[in-house]
Amino acid sequence: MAIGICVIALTFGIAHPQFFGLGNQLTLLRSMVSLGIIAFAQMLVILVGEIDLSVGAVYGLTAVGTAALWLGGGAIPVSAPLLVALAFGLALAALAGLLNGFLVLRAGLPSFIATLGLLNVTQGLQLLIGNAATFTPDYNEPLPPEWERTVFKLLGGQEIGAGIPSEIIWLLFALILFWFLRHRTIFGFRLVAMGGNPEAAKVARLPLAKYKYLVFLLSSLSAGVAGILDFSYVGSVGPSDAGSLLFSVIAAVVIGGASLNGGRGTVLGTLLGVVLLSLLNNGLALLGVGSFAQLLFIGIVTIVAVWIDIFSQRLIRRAGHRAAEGAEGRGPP
Amino acid sequence: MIVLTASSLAKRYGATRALTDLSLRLQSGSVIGIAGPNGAGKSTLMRILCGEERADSGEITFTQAGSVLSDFNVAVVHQEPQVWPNLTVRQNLAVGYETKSFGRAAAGADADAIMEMLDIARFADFELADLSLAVHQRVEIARAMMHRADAFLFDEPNSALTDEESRSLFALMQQLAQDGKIVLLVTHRLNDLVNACKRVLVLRDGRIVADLGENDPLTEAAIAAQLTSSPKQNLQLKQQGVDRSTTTKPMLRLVSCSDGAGAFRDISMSIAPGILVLAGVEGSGARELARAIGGFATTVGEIEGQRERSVVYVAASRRHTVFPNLSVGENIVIRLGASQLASPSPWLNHARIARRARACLAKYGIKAGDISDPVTSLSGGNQQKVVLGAALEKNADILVVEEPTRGVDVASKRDIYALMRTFCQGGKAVVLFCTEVPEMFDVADKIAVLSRGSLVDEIAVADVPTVTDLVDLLARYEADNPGIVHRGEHRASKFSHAGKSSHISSP
Repeated sequence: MAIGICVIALTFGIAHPQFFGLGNQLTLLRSMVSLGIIAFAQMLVILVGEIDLSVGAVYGLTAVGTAALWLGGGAIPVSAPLLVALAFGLALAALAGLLNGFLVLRAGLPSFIATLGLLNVTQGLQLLIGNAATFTPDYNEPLPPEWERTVFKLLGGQEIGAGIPSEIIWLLFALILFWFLRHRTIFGFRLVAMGGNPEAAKVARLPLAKYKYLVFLLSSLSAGVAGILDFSYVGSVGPSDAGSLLFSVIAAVVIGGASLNGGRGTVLGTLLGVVLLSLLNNGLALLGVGSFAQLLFIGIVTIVAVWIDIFSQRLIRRAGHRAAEGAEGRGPP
Repeated sequence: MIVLTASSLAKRYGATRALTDLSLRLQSGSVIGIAGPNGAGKSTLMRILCGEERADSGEITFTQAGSVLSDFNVAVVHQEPQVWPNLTVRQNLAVGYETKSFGRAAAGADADAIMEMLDIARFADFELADLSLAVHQRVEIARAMMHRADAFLFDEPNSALTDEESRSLFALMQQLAQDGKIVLLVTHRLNDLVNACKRVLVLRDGRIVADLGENDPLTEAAIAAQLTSSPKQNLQLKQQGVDRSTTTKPMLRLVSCSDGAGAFRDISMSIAPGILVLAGVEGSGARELARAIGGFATTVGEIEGQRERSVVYVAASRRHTVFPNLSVGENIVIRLGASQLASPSPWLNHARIARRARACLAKYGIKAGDISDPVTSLSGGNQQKVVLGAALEKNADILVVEEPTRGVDVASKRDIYALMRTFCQGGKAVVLFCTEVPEMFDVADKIAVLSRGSLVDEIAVADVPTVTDLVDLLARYEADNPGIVHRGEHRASKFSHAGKSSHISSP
């Protein structure tokens, strides 16, 4: 997969000299932030054998909810200080996560249905709260205090030297956090076990419900954080489409080698999936392919990438079988 | 010494009493067997003992040296081991018993010693998906040992193991027992009970009807006598048999047939009315030949008469034959066509379907409350009868069945074979793939022996005086063809053991 990415990157580089330019590389990196943060958390959800379809809508709801309360407008009649508004936005995200968890674990709905329902609920709520308005802190009436605008810009939009926006720090932070969670904690280890064989996890009395609640919460919160960061970077937020981000997130996780049946998925794999998708988007846009053909390319690449993954898994399995047979051949177990 | 005492346990599910006033006393030191026909309450008892379910009344206590233990662990080794195929052996041992919250998940310090003891240390870093079922089982045992279990319940542990694997499993069970653990073995295989256990409890209708081996020697005959509720009804299948002469006109004729995947080659034989058993170890091609006759494999060569004769095929695993989401009645009529289910066509006629299904319950001796019960509420043996009934209702000319008695109790086995015999009396043929020699001896008219993909003999069972002779005969064919595949050899030895195994007509 890494090789594939290099090949595609080189092709773009040759086809368009500006591709490897610092400016474009930064744009590329920046475009991975929200996709990456959400995809890492989604990978954990998929790892336990569930799915969270509400992330795209929660992303929008958090941003619009924060904006509406902070700037006053939309359907919210009052305005509040930035920190209160941020807390409100994230609380909405957390609520969505807990609701997903409740519906899946208490009510027993399949996560596909529960989160699909919540996708529509949060999307509707976003449109209601935002009232289809676009919120722009710098041109708002009344203008928020200077320090609030500075702090808000610091979250995602502020340059931290060499033209690097502060949002990128968050991507790094999320990468490290989720890598640690997935690969170096009991939590991550047990998620793998729960996804690999839920029955056995039950027999072993692993805290299935608790961990799944946590995973849904993490997923929604990540989507919320990403929404606020993008709001800060872009400088304004309006009604957004929940679908396209969701499909990119799931595509990235699956391209990254995670199994929708659960039990398989790594942070680095997901990162590669995110890089591949962002690379294609960026490169194809640079070449001026147009968004229709872009969609077509991305679809094909997703299918091919997963196909290759399945095929290589089969090879690995076969090699593993042979090695195990060799070990077993040394005598009956 | 640890003693497990259960006093007057009772459990009911709806209208069914799974356990009624069951009391038992189990002590550590030797393997204790539990036998019982399907639906006797074995699984319920196991679930209650290990705490997966609570009894309606009664209690369970563990005592050690006279004092009651407040904290005890009971581990189950499942028929299908509950482990994680996506993790390595070492990781499997760590799940739930991780030693630290951060860093790589590691199993406890005793993991290595336990893996060494169970002889799975060399697989420590293999993923379970790559390893055999025997290793999976040992991983589950290892997990129980890591958990310091006081009692180990083995539920049909060797149903899918080779003979050699079974032997080493039983040796391990003995060792656990000697180490002061309570070890329980639940199985249908009578010879395993006799070989592995010093004491066998027989469960029937939710209570213990016999405690064998304490005072008298443990024999298969003694267990079998307790298992069958009415031994006098013992069907003498042989006597009911049709004329066993092979002169009857063949229904199908195979002309140098070979398997598309290469499991058997160049087989020519004819299938006449009566019961034909295809015998052969795993890998001999016998199973594949049965599938080919059933029409579920691509064959090269000609099968004469296949177009004129209708064939129904019943697969070995109930996973492939039972529709778990449907009721008993729906499972029975599932194979029928529009002309039997619909009137006026194309509308389903529920009254007619129900009548037919009810008639089948009686006809095939299926023990079910009603046709609307979910099929999964039946015992394994009764589910098998439903499956067979569904196939027989098709009223085809030829019935092809793979291992119809796998995991089925002695009484149901007899019923199942009686159904086949009745089917044959109408001048029809049954082709049966079976690995139990005593069953072949009791039920077959003719045995076709396959070895390494070729037909090596056709035996008319009437010419074989005793089951021991048949065992010898089949063993000789295996001996003539040595060095098959690694696994094949284990299976081969099964034949020589099978002579001692559960004989379906109990003395």
